[in-house]
Amino acid sequence: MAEDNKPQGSQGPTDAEKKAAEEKAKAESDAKAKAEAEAKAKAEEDAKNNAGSDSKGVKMTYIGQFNGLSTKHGMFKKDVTVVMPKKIADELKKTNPGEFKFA
Amino acid sequence: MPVANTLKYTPMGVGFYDEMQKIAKGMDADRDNFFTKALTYDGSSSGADFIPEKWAANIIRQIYEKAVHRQLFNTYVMSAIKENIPKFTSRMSGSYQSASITSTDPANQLGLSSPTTGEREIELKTLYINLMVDNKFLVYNASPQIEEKLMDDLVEAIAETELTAIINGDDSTTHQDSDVTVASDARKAFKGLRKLATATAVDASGGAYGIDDFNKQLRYLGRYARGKYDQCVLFVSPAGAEDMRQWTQLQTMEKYGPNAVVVKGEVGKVQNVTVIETDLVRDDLNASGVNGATTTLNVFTVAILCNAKMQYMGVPKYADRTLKIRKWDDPRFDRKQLIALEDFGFQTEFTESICIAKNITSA
Repeated sequence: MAEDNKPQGSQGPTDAEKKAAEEKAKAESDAKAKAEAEAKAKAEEDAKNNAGSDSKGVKMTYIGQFNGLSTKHGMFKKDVTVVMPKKIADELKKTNPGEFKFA
Repeated sequence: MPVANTLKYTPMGVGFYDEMQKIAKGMDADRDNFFTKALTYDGSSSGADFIPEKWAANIIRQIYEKAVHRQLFNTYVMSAIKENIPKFTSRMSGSYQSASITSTDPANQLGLSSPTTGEREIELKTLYINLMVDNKFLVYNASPQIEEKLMDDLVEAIAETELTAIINGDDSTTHQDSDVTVASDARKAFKGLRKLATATAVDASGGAYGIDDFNKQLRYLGRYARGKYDQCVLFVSPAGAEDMRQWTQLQTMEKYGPNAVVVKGEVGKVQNVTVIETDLVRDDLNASGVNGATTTLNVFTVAILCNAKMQYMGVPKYADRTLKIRKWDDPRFDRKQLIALEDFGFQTEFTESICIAKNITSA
């Protein structure tokens, strides 16, 4: 029987179990630290992209001939104003000249 | 002899061209026939000598065979220069009868399922080919090969003239493409697919044409494509076709099966949508899908997806204005002029039935 394999009178986890728990805790704390660092880097990146505008980004409206424009940054419906990070707004301004109105 | 106004056949479909060929070959004695009239304008000399009569009919048949739009799009027979194609702009929708059967309250009448209607104007424009041939050249090179070559060229030219106007046309005061400036350019005859499109466009972000771009186009065609993929057609440039050949989703012709219908220029099907490769879809457009003034930015192409059954080609009802080939012998200059002329129009029923993917690299 499985229980027979356990040392009689054993109280609490064995050494192997203790080690595994420690490793697990360490991995969790590492992952947490990594996620925090990534979030911080992303926030910094976003702040950099939005430099020169307000914190919300750039207001832009698609005014081209189509009912909308689907880009890798998402879909812009005609005459609907959206707020985009400055970097994306600049990119779309460059690739689609005259198709967006910036506020 | 006056031109017969009653048509034996409407000028559309392969039957039309078959019939035309039969008559030209003398296999049909019905002289009042529409097509006889079309081919024997001004007596019996149309296309004679220079192009034997049976070949004149061949030309017209081959235009059908070489013109993908004639095989795919709808034909609208017109008796006036301008006509309006009626359409429903909203769908009828059914309702539920909720009132009690004994109710006599006027408010409980069955409500009307009023669909809204609209119309699109289609106008016939005159397209032509004017081919000048030196008499001397004709006499010393009067072999069937030369004539056949000229015939092929003429057919190709007429088919291409129609298709380039359908794809690139724009009759605005300033053409959408900055390099189309000559007043007689066929691309100024009417607005074509690229100009008319209003379905949400797909921006390929300067990359290759990908299956995800195509799938987005299908989505944005909305109800004009759903359940009707077999009616849809995708026009791509050679650069676009190059990208598509790498798609695992592209179904090439050997996989179609025995009952497939293959049209001119077809390179395959994706999701049952016919793919047409033609260099009339320009490879020198800018990221916005037009040929811009800054030529260094014209390094992109477009892919045009449309529902072919929503696109209308206007053809004249009167035989006198359908495709005619006339010859003019001018001894003063020792030459012959061969003029092929027809009235032709194009319009879309719904601009939302055309979707463009632009900003596709053609480098």
